[in-house]
Amino acid sequence: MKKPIFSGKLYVQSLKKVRTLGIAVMIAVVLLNMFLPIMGIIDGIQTDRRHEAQIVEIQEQIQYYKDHPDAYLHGFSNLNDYIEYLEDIKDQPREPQPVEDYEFAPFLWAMMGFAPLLVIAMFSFLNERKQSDFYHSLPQTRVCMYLSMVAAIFTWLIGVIVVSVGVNALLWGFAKYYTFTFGTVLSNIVFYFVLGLFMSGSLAVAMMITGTTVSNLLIYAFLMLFPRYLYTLFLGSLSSAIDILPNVEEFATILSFERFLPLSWADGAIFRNGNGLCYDSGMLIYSAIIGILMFALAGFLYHIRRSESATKSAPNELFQHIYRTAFTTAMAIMIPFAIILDGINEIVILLLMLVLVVHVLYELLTTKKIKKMVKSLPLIFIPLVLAAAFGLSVLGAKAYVYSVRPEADDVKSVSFSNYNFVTYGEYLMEDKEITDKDVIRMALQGLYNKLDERERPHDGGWTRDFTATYTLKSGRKISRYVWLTDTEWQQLCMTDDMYLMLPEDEDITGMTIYPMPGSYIRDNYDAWTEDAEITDIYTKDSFYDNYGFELKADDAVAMQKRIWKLFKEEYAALSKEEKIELLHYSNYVKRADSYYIEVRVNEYDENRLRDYTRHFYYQLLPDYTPKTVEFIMSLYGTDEKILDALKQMKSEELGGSVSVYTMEGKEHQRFYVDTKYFFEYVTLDEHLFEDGKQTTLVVINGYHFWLNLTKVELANILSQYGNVEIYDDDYYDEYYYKYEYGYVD
Amino acid sequence: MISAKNITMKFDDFTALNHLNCEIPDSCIYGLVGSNGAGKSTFLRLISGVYKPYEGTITVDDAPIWENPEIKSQIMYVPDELYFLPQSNMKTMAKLYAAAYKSFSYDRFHELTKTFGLNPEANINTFSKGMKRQAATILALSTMPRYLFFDETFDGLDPVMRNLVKTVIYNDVCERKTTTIITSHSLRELEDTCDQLALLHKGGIVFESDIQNLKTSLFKVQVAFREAFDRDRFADFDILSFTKSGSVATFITRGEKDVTTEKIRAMNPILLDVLPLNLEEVFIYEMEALGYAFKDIM
Repeated sequence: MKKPIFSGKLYVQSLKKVRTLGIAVMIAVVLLNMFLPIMGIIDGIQTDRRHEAQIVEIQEQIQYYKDHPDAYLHGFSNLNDYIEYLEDIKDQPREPQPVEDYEFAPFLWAMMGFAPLLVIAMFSFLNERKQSDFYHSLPQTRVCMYLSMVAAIFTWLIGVIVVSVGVNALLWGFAKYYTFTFGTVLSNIVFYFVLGLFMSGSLAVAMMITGTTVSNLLIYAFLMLFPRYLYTLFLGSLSSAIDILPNVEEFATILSFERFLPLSWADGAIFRNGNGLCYDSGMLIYSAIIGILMFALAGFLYHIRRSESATKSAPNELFQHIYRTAFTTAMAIMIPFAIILDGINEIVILLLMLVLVVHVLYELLTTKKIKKMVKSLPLIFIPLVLAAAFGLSVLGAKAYVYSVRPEADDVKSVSFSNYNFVTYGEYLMEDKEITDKDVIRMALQGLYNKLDERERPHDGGWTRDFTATYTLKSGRKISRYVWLTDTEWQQLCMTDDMYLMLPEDEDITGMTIYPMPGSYIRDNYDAWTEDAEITDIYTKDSFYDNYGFELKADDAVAMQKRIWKLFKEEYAALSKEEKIELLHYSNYVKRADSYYIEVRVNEYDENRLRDYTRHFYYQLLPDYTPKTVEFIMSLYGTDEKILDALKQMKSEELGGSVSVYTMEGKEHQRFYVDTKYFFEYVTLDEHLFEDGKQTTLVVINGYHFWLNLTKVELANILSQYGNVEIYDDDYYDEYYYKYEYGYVD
Repeated sequence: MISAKNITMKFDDFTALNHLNCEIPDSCIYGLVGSNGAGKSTFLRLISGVYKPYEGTITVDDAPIWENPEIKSQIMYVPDELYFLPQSNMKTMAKLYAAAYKSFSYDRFHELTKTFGLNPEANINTFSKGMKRQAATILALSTMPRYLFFDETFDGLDPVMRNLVKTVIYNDVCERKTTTIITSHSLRELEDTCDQLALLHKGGIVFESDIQNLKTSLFKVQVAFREAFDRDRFADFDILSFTKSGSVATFITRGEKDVTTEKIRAMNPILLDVLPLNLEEVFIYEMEALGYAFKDIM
């Protein structure tokens, strides 16, 4: 007679068996998940009400300004703009925003706990003799019983998820300013089901090979965490012991904690790293496969399990030893890891004691017999031996790695990665296969630095650490974490013209030109309108000034593109040496508050599964790109304007602050015109215009003014407000102004 | 027929059954007696398909029991420690049994609950120990099994209920040719119920026989002669035990009662009494003949 592998009746009975748990969790999760969409609905209602009130207020203001044409209009240069603004915002107060995956039904994280609880509830009969005997006396094969019960578990799991997601989809539909797609619904269902599957598969296995709740949970924790723990510890040991190996994070494979599904959820939902519920589909598929395999393994183990294993922590004494040894070994391998990290010290002693504690506790918790615990003590040598083997394997790997020393003639090509590239050219070089012999030779020097333990320079010079992958002529690839001095690194990079390249417009995702004024641009708006393609724009601090005017995004982008275009033209005309100098100055010398163009390029890191934004800087120096500098200066105003402003302050006795900056960001300390005498030092910039003039930015009460002056002219202006002296300082090899100020009267 | 050949069952270092052999014919009520730890419950679990033997085979009509739903659907095992679903009543349990056993009869279930006077809607946790046993028995009988195994089930029942259960079992045996195995500590209990009896000791069947045969094959003889005599005078008889007090000898002998009586009478005794033995006495003398002290076993 055929033996059925599934029983519908037993499946129904299994559903009933855990229905109390299932219904309780369903109610709790559905109700809790309703919180966010309900808040979204309320938010929509409140937004509409605020919007209506805002429209009325603006209409009233417009009417007021119509009735009082001389009244000062804040925020807009004229009334038509204000009316236009009203028309823009009238229809919809804001754009609907998409509901993120992890916001859609966030309390479904409970599946991480619900799924294992279902497994415990369903298979708890395996932990008690009379229950176990009862179920095993039923006229079904083990396979039939297992599949029917597991089907019931999956039914409850998916039932709770689908009901909760369905209810939330309905509610989010009523949230006016929130949108979601079918993809969000589907991703929630799939993700949380896979999460539940992944979290419970190992527990099913644990319950088949143990017979008490304590041992169920201990073995479950071991199965879930030990593989990743071992992998992480091993890579960490390699990384510490063999610092010439590339960064461990480069080997962030599926076994690392970065790709652990429950952490992925936490990263997205709690830390809001914007990665959604899951980093990538690969992680999800892998987790689903693990979950399914675990349940399949559990089925096989159930098939061979003896009913009399109930109430025992292990099927027999041998397995009890194996489980305990596994646990203790997990603790013991911390010892070689600690030794590799920091040598033999008190931490090692502590860890040894912890190994003993884990050994004793495991035996006592699982068997509850002191006699058995005492009898097992001699076997503690096994985990220590395994830990020693772990440590020796790391040392063996180290010896091997350090024995590998290719010569230049052996190397076909080299590529670089994992370095903090500074210039765009270095960024482009990443992972590119370079066959230039000089580059290979210089790159091998980096390897020899490590192998020969060359001392790093102590003269304040920098060193560059990076991963070099040497492809040998035999086809073998060797990746090593090496270093060169900064100078050597730049020499290496400069052999390739790629080093001098500027980012292509289509690769740029953001740009900031620091600092940029807003008010004066407005007056010349029509002259600068161009197509705006850049997707990201930094407007807040760059373009808002004391007039309260905020430059519109399109205008700012257009202006930036114009400046960038001008800069590119001037840069292209520079010699190679000048470009190198400018790049060096831009990225190694520049001051944080100096004048520069910041270009941002986005990149997706496949190892870390994240987007990264790369920043590249181009200093604005009058001796390299004078036209660009002059263009920016022209946005601020003329000499007459600063003099007018200063005269106005003098006549109105306004008081306030005056700050003087140079183009390179060397700031004179601010002083107040109503402050009595004090001394300041002004230094000249290194980079001057051809006529010897120094660019100077003067900020008076927040108003920006540019002066294009020689040092003498600057001194003459400032001398109107106090005594100015000029003297040379041989020690610093610079010229100083020394001036003192009195009251402005 | 249930056939167990060379069955060995171990629990860690403890051997519960050691190369056990037995055959249980159909339609009989088979009693299994033994002390605590003799292996009675283990044996029942093996032939219910709950345990898998380490060695040997157990078959029903030459078909293995282990992982055989067809055979297991005909077997109903009522253990010494009963299990019911949490917070369930008899109706709930009936549904579970009905789902598992195709032959489950609700008619019989209702009839038996009425007969035993149990409320099928009441929470089983509120039942007394005896009532729980009754409930388990009712559920087992309602599955209309071919093979019924009771593990010390009667020990918790009052005499009235015990008789009731026995009556129901007898009816099943007669009407549906059910084979029943009952384990107990009490020989007295089994004497009235069973057709066959087996004594289990240290994992093996020490003694097995038909009850009627047991009762009639052994008897006690008290005899006295004018002249002196000793055991040798009865050399032709199969004597299990012989004692002499004064001129009166008392011995236990196996054989046909009438034939033995006539043979002794032909010796012209001045005193002759032939007395039946109770089951316990039969077991004692049989065990002593085998070299066991019965008190050590029971």
